[in-house]
Amino acid sequence: MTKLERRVDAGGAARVGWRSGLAGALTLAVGMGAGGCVGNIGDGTEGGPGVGGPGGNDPNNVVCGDGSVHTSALPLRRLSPEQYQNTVRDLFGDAEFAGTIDAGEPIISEREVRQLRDNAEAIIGRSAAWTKPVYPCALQGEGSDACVDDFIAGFATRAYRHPLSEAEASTLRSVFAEARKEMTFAEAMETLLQVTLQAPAFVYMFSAGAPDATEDVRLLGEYEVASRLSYFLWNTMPDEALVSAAEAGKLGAAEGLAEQAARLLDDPRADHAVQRFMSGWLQLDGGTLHNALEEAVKDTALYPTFDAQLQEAMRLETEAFVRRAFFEESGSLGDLFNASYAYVNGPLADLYGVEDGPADADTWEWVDLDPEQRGGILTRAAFLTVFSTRNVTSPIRRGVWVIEEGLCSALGDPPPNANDVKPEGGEVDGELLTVRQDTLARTKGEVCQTCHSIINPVGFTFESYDAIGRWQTEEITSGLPIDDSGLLQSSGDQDGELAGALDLSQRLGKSERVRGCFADRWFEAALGQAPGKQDKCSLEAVHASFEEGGSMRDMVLSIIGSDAFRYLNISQETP
Amino acid sequence: MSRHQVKALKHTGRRAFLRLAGGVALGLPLLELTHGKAWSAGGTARRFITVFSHGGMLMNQDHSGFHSGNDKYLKTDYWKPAANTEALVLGPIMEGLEAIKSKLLVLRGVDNKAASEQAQYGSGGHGISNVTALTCADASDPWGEPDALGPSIDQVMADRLADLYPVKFKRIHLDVSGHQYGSPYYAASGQRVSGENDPKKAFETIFEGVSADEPDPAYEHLQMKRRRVVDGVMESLAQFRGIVGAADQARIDAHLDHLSDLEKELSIAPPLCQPPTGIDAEGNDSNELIGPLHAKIIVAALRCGLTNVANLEIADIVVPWAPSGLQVDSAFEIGHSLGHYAREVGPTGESANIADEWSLEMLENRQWRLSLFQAIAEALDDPAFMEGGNTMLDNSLMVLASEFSDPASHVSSGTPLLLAGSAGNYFKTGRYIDYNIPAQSDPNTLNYQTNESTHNLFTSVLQAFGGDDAHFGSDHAAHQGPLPDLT
Repeated sequence: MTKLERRVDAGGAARVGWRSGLAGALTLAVGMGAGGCVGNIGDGTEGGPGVGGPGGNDPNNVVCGDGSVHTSALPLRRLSPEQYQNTVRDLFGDAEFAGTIDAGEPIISEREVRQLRDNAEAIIGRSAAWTKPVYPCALQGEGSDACVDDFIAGFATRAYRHPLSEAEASTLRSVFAEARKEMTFAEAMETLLQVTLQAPAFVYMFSAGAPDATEDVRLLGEYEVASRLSYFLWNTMPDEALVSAAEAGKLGAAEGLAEQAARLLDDPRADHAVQRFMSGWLQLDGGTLHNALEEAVKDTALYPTFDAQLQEAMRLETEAFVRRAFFEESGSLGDLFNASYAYVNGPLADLYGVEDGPADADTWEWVDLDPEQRGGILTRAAFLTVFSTRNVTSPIRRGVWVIEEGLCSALGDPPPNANDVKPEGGEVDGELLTVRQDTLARTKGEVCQTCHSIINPVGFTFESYDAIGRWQTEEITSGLPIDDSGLLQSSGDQDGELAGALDLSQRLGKSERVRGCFADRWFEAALGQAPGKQDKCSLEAVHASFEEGGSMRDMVLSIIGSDAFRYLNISQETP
Repeated sequence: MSRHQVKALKHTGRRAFLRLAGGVALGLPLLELTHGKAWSAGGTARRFITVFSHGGMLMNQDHSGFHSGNDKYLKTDYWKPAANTEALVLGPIMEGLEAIKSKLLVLRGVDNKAASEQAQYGSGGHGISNVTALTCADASDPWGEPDALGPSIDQVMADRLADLYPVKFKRIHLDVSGHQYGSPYYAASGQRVSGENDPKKAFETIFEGVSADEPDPAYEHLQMKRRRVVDGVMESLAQFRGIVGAADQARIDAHLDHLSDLEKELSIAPPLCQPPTGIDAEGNDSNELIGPLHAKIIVAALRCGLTNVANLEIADIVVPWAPSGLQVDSAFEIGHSLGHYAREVGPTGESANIADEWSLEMLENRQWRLSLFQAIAEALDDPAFMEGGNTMLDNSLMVLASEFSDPASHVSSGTPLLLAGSAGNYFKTGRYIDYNIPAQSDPNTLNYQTNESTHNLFTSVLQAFGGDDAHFGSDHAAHQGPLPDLT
């Protein structure tokens, strides 16, 4: 079973499908289908439509190293809401612009079409805030056709992210001419601007391949690869330097592309893409069974320090940790899973039991957390908070995250009548139980055990952290001692008994499977869809380059250098 | 010549006509100025309204029977009418609807067979039950993340009614947000539709330019400019369509279709009508504020003749749901977990100790949802807005539906269905109809078997509005044709 249980929005940000969070989170009461629980996801063996063409371009017979380039066809995508927003801001130099646009369904909705119109009108209404040139001439008076041509060569070219084809330019000239028949010059220019902002070349990310290409699998055009790179790493339109590189024809060659990719990654704007990826991967923005970190609700009697300020601090800490692990330290996955440095303010220092930490909520500093208690991103408050209930831990959901997102192992669907009532411990049938014991009791059925025998022993290793991530040796609700022993069974190279979450994190940080999974998730973000069959060779090359201790940054660069990123497969898209 | 090249040419001609029509100020009857537009004279099926309540009800319905009360499952059906008689006696969830009871039809024993027949476990499931609930359609990836491969009933009705009664908006769709696994609303195959959750934004969109005064020249000029922009965007898309691959052309076609609807919208002058006041909540306000405002917007839009079709979608609750201070300490902060308690609040269930508390909270929530249905229905039944001898409600059909009956077991059998209005005296209302076959001989039976599906209900709906449809949706129903005994 290789079903990828994630969907990808138009911007390439992975979002969790309803099954993903649901699958293992339910305590399987009855009716699990026959067969094993865990399969592989995101391994590039499913998804890409078949193509035929020169050089063995057959999805069912992909031979790496056969001299052919292999890459899967990609469907037409629109800018994601965030990409749209960023692009408008960059185009107009209006940092405060805040339009409304829905997260992208694969096919645009009527509502989104209306939003594009309303946003275009709102943009024009904010002309006083523009800091970038838009109209190449004064709008007062009668104007001239030359102004329209200048608009096409200037603003429209930037908006479309490529020099306009004659057909595109002709359409815009026609729009202006028709509008001018019944409007003032200024109004006709506004009409032209509004059409530009709703035109497919602006709204969609379309690639036709390099000019004059005839092969089904072909290099992206210079401007196309510039856009793909910019939206991947900066989530916005290409800057002038990238456009200049495209104009000079430097991006078709791997070296030229790598040079620009490194430049973009070195820019602070890349931090946003990394944070966005990590937040999505860790499901800190919400999932099917939990709210976003900022909307998490906790029992105030059990967690009196948990408030909006602490939630905000957890987010900030996570971002600082990710930034340091990715950009400033060795950048290895080991750092991400094991590092004990933390950026904390007073309340967070208290939460982590830091002695002599910052005095108040407004003071932040880097500290080293107790290495006997904390190591890496999975032992931090943000992750542990969202994967908990209002009052207790959720070992099932913590375990599911590790298996599905850390190991890319697919958990089968639960039956419809699988329970979703939390094992919360406390007094059950006259007996005092820990969450762990209650979880075991609720999942002891043979069918439940099909998956929960794998999920639970991973999730139990996090039992030393309560529902907001505080260290606990006795359970906050039952008062019973914590047992955080566990078992890892589906990692391949790192399987074995576990002595708590630190042990688990260390194994995950060393796991080849986790590295591959992590790279696959980035691959998905880069291309906006899950790897297809034709991406097998690109994936293998990326995996091979991402060795233990290798940097995440280099892994991202290897994705950008892969055939899947640089080439286009049009064979399924030929009318 | 491609389909959309043809469209572009046709559209140019139509535009010329519409420009002429747009400049004509129409004199409207006094009633329309003061109370909105009222067209129908007597018994005419005129409007269609859906209220979709995600997450099921409090029902003891299972796939092949009803929970007896001797096990761990919920034993009470809070949705079922209080008496097994054709004359309707409202049950607990619907008790607030007493004033319009004579205008209601409560249906029991109607399955969503498109869900149960396509589901992985032969019963239902979140994704498949949602996408089929109003479409009755075949689904892509039915065991995974499905999409309906056909339009929902509201979309079909919107297209048909707009042809008969041109309106500014073919349909409006408002959303009380929360948590849900998929949508029952589809514009067409694979085209999921979502609603507006912000009352202020909805108001600004729907009632833009609507006034009891003469049309504002500045607004008319804005509309003219918008039409020119739509022209240009459509031309750009038509050109773009020619360069994308075949697989992507369907996406562009959908985009063009939406623009075409927008174009039609711009061609219709707003009615002379008094817009509602007090729509001041935004999308991030509480659902308790948003829900009633949505109902108010829908009523006003229907009264002003701005649309023929309205949808109110109510997502599953985001707990804590505590309008009365009650609170169940549910699992994962979303209504899904809360619903799941239904499978263990029975006498032998693990959560029997909180059964009363849980049931009360769920009951309150579902009653609140029904209060939104009630607000729309009662407003449409206001005798100040008579259409011939009928109220607006009489000339409408409201359908309340959900993807599940019992949410705990994801049961798509015997889903809750409540109708209000008679579609122009077509349906006989004030009744309770139970299609459960064993109930014909024993009204209190715990056994369950039916031949009826939502396919048949929506076929009845199409026929009520004058359609000659033999069937709606996929081939999963036990029989084609309408539901028996409705008329």
